[in-house]
Amino acid sequence: MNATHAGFILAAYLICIGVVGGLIVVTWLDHRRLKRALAQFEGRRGSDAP
Amino acid sequence: MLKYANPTFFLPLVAKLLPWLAGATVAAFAIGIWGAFFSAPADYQQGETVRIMYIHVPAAWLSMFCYATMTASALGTLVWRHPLADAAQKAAAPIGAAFTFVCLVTGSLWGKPMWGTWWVWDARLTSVLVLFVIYLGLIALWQTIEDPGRAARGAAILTLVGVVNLPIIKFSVDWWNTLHQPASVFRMGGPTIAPSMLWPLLVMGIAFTLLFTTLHLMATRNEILRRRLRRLAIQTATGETNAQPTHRLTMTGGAE
Repeated sequence: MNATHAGFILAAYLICIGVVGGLIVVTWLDHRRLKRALAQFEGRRGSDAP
Repeated sequence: MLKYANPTFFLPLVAKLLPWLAGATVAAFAIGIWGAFFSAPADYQQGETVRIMYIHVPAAWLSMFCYATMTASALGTLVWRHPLADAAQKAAAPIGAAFTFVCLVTGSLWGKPMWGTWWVWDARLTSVLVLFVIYLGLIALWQTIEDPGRAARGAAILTLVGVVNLPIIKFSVDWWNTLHQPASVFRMGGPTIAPSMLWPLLVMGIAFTLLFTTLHLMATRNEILRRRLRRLAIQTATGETNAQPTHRLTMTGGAE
């Protein structure tokens, strides 16, 4: 493999992995945060119930 | 089918589907990457650099497929006012922007050694850049308009206006003289790529489609949960406001 072009290939794949991986992590963290917030709300509502 | 487009049925269905989809995505990527690096030969002109094609081309396909999905959702929002359509459209925009970004950057990294330049203002590259700007515009629109109903309608109209860009992207290489090569897979008369290079490309296309489906289901689920949380927050704030009117501003602000 041509060494100069190997850098371009590596950079392309790393950027792809970085963008897609970042998107997966952000979506997953968002899901965790939302689930926790919903659980807190439902817990608060449950404790407020007569 | 429509039964599962109801958030009550959609959430359990997503919980069941996601592990299978994630597994299928990983398996498809493993086969595709193996094919791209160890089975497909180097190109007789481009050499090893052709291996960028195995991520650049599927990313380009998905950038357009994602916009087509958003267009269908926009119709669902405007025509049928389906509650899940707007959530699906909003969830797809960042994914589409990410795929378009990958397409542009990998294309640039492929163009530099092959064309001798990172960028040219030819019809294909410019129309894909316009698609990226439309995605960013849609994301900004949802962030800017506070009322979710108005934001949904505005985004749906902008999406339908922007769909004119899809045939321009597809046929730009036929309509104008471009540095970008013409279509070589989805064309009249069949693919012009050698089968040894075509099958890893198609497997990578399947892998990217599975990845998009997985991410889109995850993001749509998040959007449904976000709306549920917002509704609960408003209900709680309204209840507490009725009990203690002096706290009204703080509670409404907190609810938003």
